Amino acid sequence: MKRVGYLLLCLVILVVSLSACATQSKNDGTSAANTTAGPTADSTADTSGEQSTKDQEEDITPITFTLFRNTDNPNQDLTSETPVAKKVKELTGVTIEWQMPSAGDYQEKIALMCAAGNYPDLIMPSTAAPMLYEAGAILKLDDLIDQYGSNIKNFYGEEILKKSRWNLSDKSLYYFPAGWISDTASVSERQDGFFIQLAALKDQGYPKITTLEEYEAAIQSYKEKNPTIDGKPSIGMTLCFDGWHAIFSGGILPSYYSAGYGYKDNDYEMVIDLNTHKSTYFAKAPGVKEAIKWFNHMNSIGLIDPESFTQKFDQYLAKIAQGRVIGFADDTGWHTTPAINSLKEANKYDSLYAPMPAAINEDVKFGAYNQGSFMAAYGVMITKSCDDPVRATKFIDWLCTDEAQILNQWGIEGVNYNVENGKRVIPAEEWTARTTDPNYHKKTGISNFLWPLPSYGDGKKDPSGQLYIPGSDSIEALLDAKHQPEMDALNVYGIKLWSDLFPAWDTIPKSPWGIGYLINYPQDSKAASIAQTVGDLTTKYIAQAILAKPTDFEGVWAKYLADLDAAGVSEMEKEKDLQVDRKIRLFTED
Amino acid sequence: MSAYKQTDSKFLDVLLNILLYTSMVFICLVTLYPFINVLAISLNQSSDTVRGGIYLFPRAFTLENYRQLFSFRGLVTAVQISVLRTVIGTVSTVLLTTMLAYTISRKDFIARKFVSVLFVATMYINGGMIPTFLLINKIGLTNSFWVYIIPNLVYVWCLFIIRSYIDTLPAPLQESAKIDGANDFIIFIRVVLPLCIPVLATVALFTAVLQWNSWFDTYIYNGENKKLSTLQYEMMKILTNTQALQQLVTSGNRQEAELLSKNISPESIRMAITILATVPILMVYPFLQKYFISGITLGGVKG
Repeated sequence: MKRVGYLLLCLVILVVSLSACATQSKNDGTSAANTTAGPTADSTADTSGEQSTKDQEEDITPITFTLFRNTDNPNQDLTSETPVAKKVKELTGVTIEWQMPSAGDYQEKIALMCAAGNYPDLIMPSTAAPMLYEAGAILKLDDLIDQYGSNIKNFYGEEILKKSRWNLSDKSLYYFPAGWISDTASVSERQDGFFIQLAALKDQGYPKITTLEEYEAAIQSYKEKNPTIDGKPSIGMTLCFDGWHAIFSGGILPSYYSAGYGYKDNDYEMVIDLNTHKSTYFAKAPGVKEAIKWFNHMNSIGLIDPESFTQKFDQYLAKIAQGRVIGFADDTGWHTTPAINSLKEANKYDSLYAPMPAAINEDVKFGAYNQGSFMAAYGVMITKSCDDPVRATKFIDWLCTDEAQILNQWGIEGVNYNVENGKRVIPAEEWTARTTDPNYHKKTGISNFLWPLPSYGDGKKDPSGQLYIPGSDSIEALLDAKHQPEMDALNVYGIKLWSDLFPAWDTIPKSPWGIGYLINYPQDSKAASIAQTVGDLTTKYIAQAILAKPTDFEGVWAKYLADLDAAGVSEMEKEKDLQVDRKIRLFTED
Repeated sequence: MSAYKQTDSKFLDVLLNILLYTSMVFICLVTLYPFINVLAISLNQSSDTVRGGIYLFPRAFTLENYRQLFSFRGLVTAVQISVLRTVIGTVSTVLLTTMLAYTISRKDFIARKFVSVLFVATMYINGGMIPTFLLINKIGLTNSFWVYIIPNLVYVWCLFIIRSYIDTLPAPLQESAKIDGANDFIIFIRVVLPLCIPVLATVALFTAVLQWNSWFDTYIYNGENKKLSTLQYEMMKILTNTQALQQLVTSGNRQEAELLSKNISPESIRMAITILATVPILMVYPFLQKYFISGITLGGVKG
């Protein structure tokens, strides 16, 4: 009797576990009983006047939309009590309830949403968008935009909207593109290249550095004169191969540039020919090998920090922050900021760095990024959980008006800016607060309704010729952030910004496929899994190639290329070709 | 402790003691060092921390990191919720689990074997993340404080520990109470509960630590509700920012990576929140220690 009992229990357990395996909680909306059982605290919850009667123009009955975005924004005020948020409510009746992402993985969060069938009204899922598309959770926007989105059409223009269609098999619009829409490249300082300490430049009399050889000479002579800096041994160049950091700090991306290839246009890791549209894996492209060979040479003469190949990213930053690294090749805009900030706070201004366009030889122009091509990086979508998509579209439409853009960029007239002689002017104290107070945006609400919602970008001017983003076409703000040693250097070189040393953005042709690195391999394609292996191979072999004895370099490189082929890099290239082609057709076909 | 060969064994004893002590001290140091390191970094200026080289003592002492922490959006609420859930959760879990353990321990409970087996089965089989989520969703516990308490009311492992402990209590204790006219509840409250204090202290500590440390339920069920966030969850967000960054970079999302990287907290702040999240629960241990070391049966049974 007991035996039978236990047997039955085992059977029950087995059946239960098997049934769990059988039904994949894949997103067929039926199984995730899409009742409004568990409401997201959304539009149904707090509004009075939910019966938004379709009045002619201004329907400003209060309504709340939940908006989930995939990255956090600590400058975002969440209470909707800021002056700007209140003004938005006054003008449109809309309150946005922001849902910022959780720790780590927004992809997981979105997967959960799809499983439960519970979506926020509006969502900006970025690369998780295909998941929502598969789940049938997002609405087509074409009709809504046609009927209610005249401002949206004006804002983006036909070209961008055409480029933002989903794909060749489904040429509808599903998102309002998130990007800083502007017709001029923004004025900014160059943040990548081969960096060299200002003190070293000064010591050499501010030499011209346009090739790797010149860069090497500058580092070498400074190092010989200064074997120690601040009591610690000086380092010619330091690299870091710690995981994903390797692409930026391991000399990989810098080699890509040095060989003359751009980044935001031609996409790392491919080099895409402008005419044939064919992709080549960057390691196989001409010039990259020369750049890596130069790194190898640097290592053999002892100018590269021997710890480069084993150190962790923290140690890499620490060395830079200590001010004893003469040169490095990385991206200072975001990757090495802690180290740079640390130097600034210690007032070590001559230990700061200047970027140099060190190309592999005289004939090659250092790679640059092209801001002209449109960055179609997904955007805000309306989900099927939204009770009033018409209202949502009208709200986005309102955001595209001049009134809204000025409100969200400049603030409230009379409070954050004044109008003098028809021009918008920000008073000095307000500007100081704006640029120095870290809580400014949270307090005023300015910029809270911008990206990922439609936003104009730097340099874009309104019909009256004034900027949408205050101060965005002037370099004053950039110059203000510089200190004396840097200004001295710039003066001697006769330039205003370091970016003047690099190829100008408008000299680079726009690519018909937009931004290459945003064209992803489809998730289930072979290329997607090959890409991972290839990436690992690259990190491993580049490090090896740099570390090897100069006589072994050719052998290591040959092995690298052979392994790449064996891993299937030509598959990747073919897939990329296909995707690039489709993108071009999507942009141009009707 | 042999008394055979006096001199030899004494030497061996001393040797053994020395070895034991040194290895214990070594293990202590190795265990303590990371904690002291974290403390030192949290008390160090963040721009100075970047330069590396902080080991046991802060180089540029400052309390700024802690001050900054409290200006973080929602941190104070998170601390309150964490404390609340730990206290309420622990008390309710201990009480209810003990009640259940008492019930199962009673030999006159008909379904005793069956229920026990079912409970054990749940230790091995779990629905998985999504079915559990769907269940909690359907019950209506998402977006509420009670999702921290109700699903955690009974830990089967603790249940059986308490039950085994109750089993070791002499039966005459309960019987004598019954003879005196007590009903089950009174027996439970007056007789069993006080006697279980050592094991209850253990269970309480276990539960408290679990409640204090859990962040995953906040993540899944209350992720978007700022008012129900917990300290661990906030800490998790700050600490895993770098992983999110890595994800964005490797998926080619350079634009958002740049945006996110501006919001990565410096090392010192991360260490400060780590200290904040671990110290309170550490402080609970000494108070509960004395309950572990209490007599087993007070005023026991004679004869």
